[in-house]
Amino acid sequence: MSSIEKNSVLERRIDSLLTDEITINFGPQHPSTHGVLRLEAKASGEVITAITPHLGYLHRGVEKNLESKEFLQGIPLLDRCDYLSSMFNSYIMAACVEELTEIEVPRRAEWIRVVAMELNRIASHLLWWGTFCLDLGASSPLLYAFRDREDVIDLLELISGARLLYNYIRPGGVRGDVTPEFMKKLEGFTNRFPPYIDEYEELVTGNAIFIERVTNVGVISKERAVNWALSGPMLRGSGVNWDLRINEPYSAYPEFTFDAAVEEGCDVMARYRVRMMEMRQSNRMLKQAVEGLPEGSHTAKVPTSVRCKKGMTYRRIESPRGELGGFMITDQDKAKKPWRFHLRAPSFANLAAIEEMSKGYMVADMIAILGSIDIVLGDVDR
Amino acid sequence: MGLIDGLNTKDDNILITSLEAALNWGRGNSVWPFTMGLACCAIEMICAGASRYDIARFGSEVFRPSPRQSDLMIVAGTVTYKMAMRVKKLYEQMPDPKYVMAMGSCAISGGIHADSYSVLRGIDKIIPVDVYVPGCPPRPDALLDGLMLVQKKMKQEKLRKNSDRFILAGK
Amino acid sequence: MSLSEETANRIRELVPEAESWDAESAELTLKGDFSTGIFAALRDDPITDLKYLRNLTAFERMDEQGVTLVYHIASLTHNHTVTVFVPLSEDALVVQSLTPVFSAANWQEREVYDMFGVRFEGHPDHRRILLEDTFDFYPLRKNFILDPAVNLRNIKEREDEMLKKILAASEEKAKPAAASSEKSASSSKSDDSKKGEAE
Ligand code: SF4
Repeated sequence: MSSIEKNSVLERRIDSLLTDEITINFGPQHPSTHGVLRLEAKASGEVITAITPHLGYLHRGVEKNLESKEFLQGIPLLDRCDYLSSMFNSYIMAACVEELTEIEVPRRAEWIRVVAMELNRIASHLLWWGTFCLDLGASSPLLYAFRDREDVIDLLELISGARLLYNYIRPGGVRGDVTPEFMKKLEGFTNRFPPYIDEYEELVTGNAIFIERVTNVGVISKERAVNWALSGPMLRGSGVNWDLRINEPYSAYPEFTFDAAVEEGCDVMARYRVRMMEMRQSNRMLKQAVEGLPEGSHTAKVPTSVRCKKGMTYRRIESPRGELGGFMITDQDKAKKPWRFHLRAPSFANLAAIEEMSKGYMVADMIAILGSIDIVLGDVDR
Repeated sequence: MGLIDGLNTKDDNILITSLEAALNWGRGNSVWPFTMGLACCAIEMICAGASRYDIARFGSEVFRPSPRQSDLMIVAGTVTYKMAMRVKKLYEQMPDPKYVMAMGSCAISGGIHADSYSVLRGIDKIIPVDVYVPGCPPRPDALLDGLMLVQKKMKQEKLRKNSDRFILAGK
Repeated sequence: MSLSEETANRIRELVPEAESWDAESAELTLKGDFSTGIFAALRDDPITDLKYLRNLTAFERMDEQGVTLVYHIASLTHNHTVTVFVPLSEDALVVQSLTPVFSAANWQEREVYDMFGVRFEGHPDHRRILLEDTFDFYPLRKNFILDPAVNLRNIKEREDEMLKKILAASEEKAKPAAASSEKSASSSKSDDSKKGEAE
């Protein structure tokens, strides 16, 4: 739908439903806000006319704390920002440090990182899928999603020892090597998983009620998506072919074959499809890793207290939510701590567009739109 | 004689103790938790409620989104100063008797974020806590263990009004 | 992702008033009183095509007093990124807001204001975003010291002070009967669409 069409729909709806304007308060403790977000929505009848998000209920001051922690100590803190994809957050710190120390990461380590990150992406998308369907009123998908998410979590636990916050990726490589047992289980999982996704698609994607609720809802055009600096599935759902794994390759991604998932729909359905497709692509990458994991060491020789040279860097990667950036400055040679570390949080940037996306839609649509952004409040507030 | 008179006596009697046992049995086996999911720990709380860990085995699958319908508040996650006021208010909205579980080191003491300028160092500074479940995040198993401790506590409740947390208020 | 020569020259043409332009590292430095027209021009020119404000942040300079703003702006079609630095001196922490040019600047500028106290002129909604309005400090400035040892020593006092504020605020809110709680308003309104983690 073009923006002109959208505007006319908006006007029509407001015209026909013109009633008293009321203010609805969602949160900060509300199940559909996926955490502690507070939305103050103005609605004319059932049609949203304005939304004011109030953030900061989970602001934990991570960026300030990082300035008084050594690089390695900072990784657990960063893990707890975007807690659904903490592998990516660890990676961003590791990448920044590697750039400012010129540590050579062994090829095997990079491959293991890709495996860990893609597994984490699947886990994150699965949780998103379950809770998104829950938001739309379907409660059984959550149970399906968690059945398979536990499978992934088991794998991640096998390599890192933790279920949720891994602290696994380190400057120079990863904390521990993968075992043959892990590789065997991984292979089993990659074979098991595609039928699972088919099952989800059967269960939800073709469902008439579901389609009704998500198509042509939360439309944001290509130009506006770029102007809002949306990223990840939000951007690709609006038809922009921009995947940092392909466009700005990092780690071992150039060695893998996979496609960026792009959809032209610009609506909630498009974002849904992008994420479903991404899970398949991640599985494809994992399959390649099972076959071709190179031999070698899992980590470079790195001192326990890493020292960086003076400098500044902005590294960005494709997290499940979009562009995750780390902007790091060190103030001296042999620096032990960052002078400033800024986390460019994808959820924060994506959430900013919620008002534009949900204006003119129903209150219940707003829940679908919010769900389709896939926010993690730890990432929004940091 | 009657139920009310029986309750007003100074000593336990058979009426009170059997009613007590029945009430506590019912209460302890159908705890309705209030989803106070604030941060990372909330994900593990959802895991405990979902397929594998299946909190329904302990009668607590009815996660309520409203404080007015629940009797156990699981504070899962970091409480910031900005949120603290809301946590207290939601606690006050819960009907008596109410129980609080502090899940994760953040809710217990501020945890990894204790140095921060915006984090409350433990919810026991603002509301009474019954059970602490340590970990960062605690595994779902630990949450289930904590739940069983809450149930144990519930089963020791007394009906009589001179006990420290009486169940039938008033009479 | 280094810039092509054509783009580098084009940026030099478009931004003649730049303090410096380093084509090698794609770093542009502007004065604090730049006009937003520069960014609009860089955005609309088909060669530079810098449409994507991927990151906006700030840091405090180490040598002298002051804050430097950092803008990372990218072109998704040509796949290049330009970093724009805007050094501000301590007595003039104010710049033009980029929100009319990039919607994405809206929240990110508010965050910089929240954390550093830099003011953005012409911003449509100039409020703190993460911290409460009652906070009277800018936490990411270096003069706001976060020393665990100091903090732990004063922890009792600071906590008491904060809690007093919180409790006072909650009592104040509880007073007027009309101000029904946030929670009850939301749960009654939205029972249909969100059954929560209930079933
Ligand atoms: S205890 Fe750990 S896992 Fe739980 S909320 Fe705090 S930081 Fe997150």
